[in-house]
Amino acid sequence: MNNRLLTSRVLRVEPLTTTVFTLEMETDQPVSVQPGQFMMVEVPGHFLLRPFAPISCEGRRITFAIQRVGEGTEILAGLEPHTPLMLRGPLGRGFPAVEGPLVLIGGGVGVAPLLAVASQLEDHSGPVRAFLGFNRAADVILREEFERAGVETTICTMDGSLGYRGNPVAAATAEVPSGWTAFACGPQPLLQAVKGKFARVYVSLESHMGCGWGVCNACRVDRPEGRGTLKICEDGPVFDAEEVELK
Amino acid sequence: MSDLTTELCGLKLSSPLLTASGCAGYGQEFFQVVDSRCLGAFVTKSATLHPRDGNEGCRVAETPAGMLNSIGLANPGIERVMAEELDNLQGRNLPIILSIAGFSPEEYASCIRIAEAHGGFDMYELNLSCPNVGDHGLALASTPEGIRTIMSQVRGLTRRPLLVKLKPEVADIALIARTAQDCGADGLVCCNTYTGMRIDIARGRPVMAKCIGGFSGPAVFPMAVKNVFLVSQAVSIPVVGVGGIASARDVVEMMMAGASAVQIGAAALRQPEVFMKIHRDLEALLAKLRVERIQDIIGRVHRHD
Ligand SMILES: Cc1cc2nc3c(=O)[nH]c(=O)nc-3n(C[C@H](O)[C@H](O)[C@H](O)COP(=O)(O)OP(=O)(O)OC[C@H]3O[C@@H](n4cnc5c(N)ncnc54)[C@H](O)[C@@H]3O)c2cc1C
Ligand SMILES: Cc1cc2nc3c(=O)[nH]c(=O)nc-3n(C[C@H](O)[C@H](O)[C@H](O)COP(=O)(O)O)c2cc1C
Ligand code: FES
Repeated sequence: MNNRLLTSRVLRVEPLTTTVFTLEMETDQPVSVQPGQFMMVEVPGHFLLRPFAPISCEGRRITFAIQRVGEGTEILAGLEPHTPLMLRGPLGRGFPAVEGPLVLIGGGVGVAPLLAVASQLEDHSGPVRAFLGFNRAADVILREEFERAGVETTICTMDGSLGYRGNPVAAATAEVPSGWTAFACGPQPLLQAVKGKFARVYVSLESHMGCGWGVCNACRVDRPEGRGTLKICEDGPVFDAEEVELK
Repeated sequence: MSDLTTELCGLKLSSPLLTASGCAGYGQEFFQVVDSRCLGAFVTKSATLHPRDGNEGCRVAETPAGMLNSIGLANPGIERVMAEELDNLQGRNLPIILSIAGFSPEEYASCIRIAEAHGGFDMYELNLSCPNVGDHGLALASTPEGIRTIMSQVRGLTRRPLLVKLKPEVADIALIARTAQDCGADGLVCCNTYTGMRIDIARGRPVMAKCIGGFSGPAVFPMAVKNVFLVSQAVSIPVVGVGGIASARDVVEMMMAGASAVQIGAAALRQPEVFMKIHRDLEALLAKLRVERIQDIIGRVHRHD
């Protein structure tokens, strides 16, 4: 069974940039999260748990890369070691197992689940490249980790202060044949831009979540041509880009 | 060991703990984590005559000690609920309470006709009080006339017990409750969500796409206790207490206020394991209070008026 309640404690919180930090937790029991799957993480003093996709997960150790965007993430950024936190998961469907050439396209903190993918590709049957986009050089995160995973990594910045100037979809489409498979995670415009550019495109979607495990119906995404809706937490968060409307 | 059985409209419940509509879906995901032996009955997500996608945009928001939701009655429609979704609930030796909602008395009537044709459940909960649809929400539970109109259309369609789920923000909830009783309701569910709103101050915009949503969770508990107290005083039919329950203590308090059973919504959506915890804690708490049968505490507070 997947949807498990885990007790955990904070091992460390470390800043990566001025707004992004890593949160490393130790759980009471081993947990196995597939790349792209997520965990619901308790925010002390808040009612709803928040969804985050880990960058790594080994045995009882689980690490997230988190951007401070509001009240909840602000609190997580200030946690002291040993703070107990409730975790729930692993939840949802992650990136599928694919064969052949693969391109990872991430924007901002959206590179996080792609690092989990990159780290599990030792025996992959084709070339793998990563295009990671940020606003500026000071925002770049996890570059060494992607390289250590053996993935040829291209950094893109919107202001050109590091690497390719422009967004990572433009860089990837310029350098990678369209017959490859693409995994993408990041802001909605990035996901829209990558849809249709490669033979198969899988996108990881975000939504405000109530439960995270399929009962509250908060996390709606529409299927194309009025074919109804799906739940991001249960049917995703990773979807074949052709199966969902990217608004 | 204390006796946790209770009774609702002639149905024996092995536990006073029920799911709240919309907070446990139709059971598929829920029973992967919750032991059905902790429950007295399962209340389904409200079904409507036609399938609904629900509202667009952000549909939940955080609040101090609670949450807002504006799901907008997303559900697969009564036909599919009856044909497909109830499967997950049957065979568990657990009474099933089918929640239905509509946009007119005729829609409630159509839902009941379809449900009667399928069968496979024990009781109805009429959600007359969803705050998240239409301009002002389903307001049928706002006035005695609204209650009378709907009950006159549906009461004759079924012999199954009918629970009416009340709206908390009304001028005189005791009057609404009495009207429902007079029109043939077998029990009342008190109450649906309150209403609330949050604003994203960084963007100066409402957090939720629909601005206003249903407010629930521990923050509403005292208001729910008050409403159950007022309603149970006004009627002789059983009242199911709902709103903010998150502990065994809350269950005891709600039952002392007059509830024959309780529903747990937001707290279970946050952490479904609370059903097991509350069930365990309840036995210990009743022992401490020297209560042998939980039924004995129902409405205890009224006997001290
Ligand atoms: C499957 C999944 C995986 C995710 N993985 C990561 C991750 O690895 N790292 C990371 O930093 N973030 C991730 N997120 C986004 C993260 O959940 C939100 O940023 C977080 O919940 C915001 O909480 P808050 O209380 O700080 O924000 P709030 O104060 O509630 O809101 C601040 C701002 O963030 C927006 N926001 C709030 N919740 C979400 C949400 N769930 N999704 C998108 N936007 C939101 C609000 O609209 C608002 O503009 C993920 C989201 C999902 C659905
Ligand atoms: C996400 C969510 C969805 C809900 N959907 C319904 C619904 O479909 N029908 C209904 O009658 N009540 C619905 N409710 C209201 C609950 O059943 C319950 O009355 C209310 O949340 C108060 O209880 P609580 O504080 O324990 O959550 C919903 C509540 C939430 C939080
Ligand atoms: S967040 Fe509750 S159903 Fe997806």
